[in-house]
Amino acid sequence: MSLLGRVGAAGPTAPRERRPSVLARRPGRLPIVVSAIGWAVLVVAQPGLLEPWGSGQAVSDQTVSVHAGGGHGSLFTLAGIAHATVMTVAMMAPFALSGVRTAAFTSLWWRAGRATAIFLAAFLLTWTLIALCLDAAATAWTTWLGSASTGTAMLLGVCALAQLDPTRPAKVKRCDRGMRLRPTGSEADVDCARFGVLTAGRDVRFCALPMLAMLAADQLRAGLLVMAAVSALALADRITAGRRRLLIAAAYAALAVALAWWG
Amino acid sequence: MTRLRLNIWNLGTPQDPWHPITLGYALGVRAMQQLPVADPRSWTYQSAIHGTYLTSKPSGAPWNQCQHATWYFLPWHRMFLFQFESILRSLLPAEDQGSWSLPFWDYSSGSPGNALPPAFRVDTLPDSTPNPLFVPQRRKSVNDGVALPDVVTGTQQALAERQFTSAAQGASVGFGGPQTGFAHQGPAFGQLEAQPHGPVHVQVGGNGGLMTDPNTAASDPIFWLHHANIDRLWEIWTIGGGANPAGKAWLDNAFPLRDATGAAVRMKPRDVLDTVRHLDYTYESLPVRAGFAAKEARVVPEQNQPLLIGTNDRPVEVGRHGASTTLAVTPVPDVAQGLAARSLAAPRMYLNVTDIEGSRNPGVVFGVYLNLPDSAASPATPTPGDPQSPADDPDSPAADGAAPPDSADHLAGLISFFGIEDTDPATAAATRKEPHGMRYRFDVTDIVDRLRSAGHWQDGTVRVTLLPLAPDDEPERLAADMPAPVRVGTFNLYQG
Repeated sequence: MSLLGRVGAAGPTAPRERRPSVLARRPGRLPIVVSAIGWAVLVVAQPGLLEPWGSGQAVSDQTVSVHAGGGHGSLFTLAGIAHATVMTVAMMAPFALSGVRTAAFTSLWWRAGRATAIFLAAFLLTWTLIALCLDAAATAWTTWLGSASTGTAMLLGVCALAQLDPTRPAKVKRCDRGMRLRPTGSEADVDCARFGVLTAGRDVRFCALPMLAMLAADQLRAGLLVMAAVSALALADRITAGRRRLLIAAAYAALAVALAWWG
Repeated sequence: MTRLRLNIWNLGTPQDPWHPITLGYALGVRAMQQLPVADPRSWTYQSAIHGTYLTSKPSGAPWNQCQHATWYFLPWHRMFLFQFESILRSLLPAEDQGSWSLPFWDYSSGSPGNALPPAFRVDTLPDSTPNPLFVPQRRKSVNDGVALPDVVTGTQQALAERQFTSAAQGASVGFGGPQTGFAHQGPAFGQLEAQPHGPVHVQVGGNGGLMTDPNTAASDPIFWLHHANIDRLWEIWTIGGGANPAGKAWLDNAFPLRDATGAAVRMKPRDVLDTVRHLDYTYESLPVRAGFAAKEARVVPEQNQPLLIGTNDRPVEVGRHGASTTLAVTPVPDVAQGLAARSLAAPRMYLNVTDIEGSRNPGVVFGVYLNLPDSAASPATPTPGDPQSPADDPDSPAADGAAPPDSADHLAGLISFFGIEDTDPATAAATRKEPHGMRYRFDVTDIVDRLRSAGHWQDGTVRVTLLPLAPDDEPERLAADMPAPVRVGTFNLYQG
């Protein structure tokens, strides 16, 4: 059974004698699998393990070297872009879950897999572009401060403060808004891609800060752990639709204190 | 002693409707109407808790709180009615307070109860003072005592629903509505809210009436009796074996209200589940029904996420005369074959009508029909002076009349567009809400089976027609005050 269904064409007529793809009924599997692969690549490629993106030398807090001078590779190299892309995919793919379901379940069954793939690709591509901009900002920020751990801790503190906004639940809810997708043909593909871009754009307000902290944390020795923690908190905020915002604020604050203390 | 909410039609007679309970209600409404708006017990304030267009509100007033198209619809209105009833009772003479309870309007039990209760149709009270229960902003025929159509007041479909809520996209949202957070106008209507709740609102209010719009509905005194009946139907469903949600997300979401003293209170669904134990009231008539047998035969297919098998290609504008569209349908081959191989029933079919937007309710209850024969849906004689006459609109399927009698086998459900105003960004902004499209979902499995047996169903295309359920009885108001057509973006047919 095809995972993506009828990927090859998007004609106006449905195929005959076909079974629905896995993604037609379980579209949520795609972003989960994609995210898991992203995390696996990050773990395997951690400096000191496979060293795929650079020198692999141990990075310390005091050397803001990864982005500024070599580490995983400068942002403006292919390796740097690839690294930022994998980080984006790992962190952001789960945030596409709601949109992926909407895209699949409001598309005709014989093109639901295709709709899912197009939506997710557009969503992640948009976020990769955003992440590259944020990566430059994170690098500039930590370089200016001269300490990646302090920079990350301060960004986590801001994440905690952002959680205190009492209107957050209503705002988070707006991220999951759907849109009408035309049923067939290239118009349907365009709608799916547009939906992915719009959804990514709506997520910026809530995910940009954690993403910035995550990119800053990438320069730390325990960066992967911090990244995982930040991703988990951002995802928890989304899943609970802002209802646990104070608890999540406390977790961000605790993480910030821990980094500032032991970083 | 537990208070008893009584059927208004059992109180008094059509000639003399002023039973003490009914008269008490009228006097209580009048007392509330005489209080200043800033008083939380006042009529305007209480109505505004449900919804209002007033932009200047007293400090801290919990206005625009009503929960619609959400699983909080039933518990929120139960809390709201309970506090309203307490306030009204507190304004009655002390000697009457012990015996007074809010009556209900059981419009679903045939004649004469399916007509507006007589006390709401007369201009004056027994002492010849103006009757606060009478409001002119209703459908004229309803104020004249014409019965609501049976199809509007039907409860069978709602009471046959087994689940309170369902998360499956495209499938039925259950008896009570979809899982949401606070939702002044949520994503989709539960079965009871879809019918009879919404259609009764619009059938009573008509074009521009108070009951037709959630932001004015609670200003009509019949609103409270209508919702007492909806509350009673929830109680009937529960007694019949319906299970309310058990999770904390539903049980413990608190809503702000005002109590009999005007003080702020917060109530949760958990506080109102048992009307006798928690709220000290019950209903005069709680008939035990047959149960859920009708839908149990097809439980297995519901375990799957339904798949979209047919949709329309462009949005449709629905005027007061209705509209129709054609869906290109491709059934899922392996679903039907697989189930047949395992000797199970055919999969369920659902019609979703979504992305509905409009600035004002047309004041018409529409039937949604599948594959209605051309003879039943053909345009008829145009209505002079009507800017939305079928003569001007080739897509409009009907002229002055309702769906023909032989259309019942094609009827999938009703659409009343109750709450359509909140899909308009300007209205939503004025009432501080988030605008989004409205949605209806219908389980059409049985209708498809019937049509297939009768030779009225071919896989490939399905025609969906929206037709007014009753002849247009407001031509004069119509010509003077025509709402813009409602736009329906999507008709989706799901199988699974």
